[in-house]
Amino acid sequence: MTQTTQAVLRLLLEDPAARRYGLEIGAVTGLPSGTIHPILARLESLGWVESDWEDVDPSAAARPRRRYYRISEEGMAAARLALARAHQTRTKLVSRPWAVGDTS
Amino acid sequence: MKTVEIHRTGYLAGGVVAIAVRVLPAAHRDRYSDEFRADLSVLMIGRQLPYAFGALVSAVPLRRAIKETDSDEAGRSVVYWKCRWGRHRWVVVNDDNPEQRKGIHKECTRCLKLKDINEHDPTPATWLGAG
Repeated sequence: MTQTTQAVLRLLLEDPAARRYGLEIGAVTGLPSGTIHPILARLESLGWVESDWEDVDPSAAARPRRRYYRISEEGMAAARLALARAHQTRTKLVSRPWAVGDTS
Repeated sequence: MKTVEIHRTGYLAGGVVAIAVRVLPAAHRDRYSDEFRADLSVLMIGRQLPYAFGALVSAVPLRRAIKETDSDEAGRSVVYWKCRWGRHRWVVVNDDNPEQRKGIHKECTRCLKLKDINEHDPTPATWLGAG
């Protein structure tokens, strides 16, 4: 799992009930705007993230509706596990850098 | 992040986002067009163009991510070239409903194509038509 995906997942796990839109996720994580949507699309396809449209009248708000993203119930457990594994792997590689590719 | 102020979307940024959206599969264009334009509307004019170019750069990876999702939903994510060339990997399968087929048939383990087993008449149908 890439560092950018981990950053997005960590943010969504901070407050699982919070609904966040793409630009906001990019701003909080510090990731470039171009990297956020492909990550969200992949996470959504895995069922880890749910998205829905903002409940607002675009003409009244004078802007298009936002698409809000939130981590799903299924995604919470899977993301925590994946992040823990990624952290474990990183720790292992930092402590034993020669062990890259060692599957034992 | 508090971004409640609405800004007019610049023509250039709007155009770049429109190009980015054109890269995406047709079924997903409206969704991402709305998403990108909603993001643009809360950005200052000076920050709209970098955002729009970011969207343009991400259009190809986004398209790939969407395509992967769509192909997974369709249930066929792999092109079986050997099967396209007629080189199937047949296995004999027993039918649950023998009324539809003759009790057993062949099934390709790769592309799931079905084929009747006709042991007693191996003659090709085209050859019969010639006579």
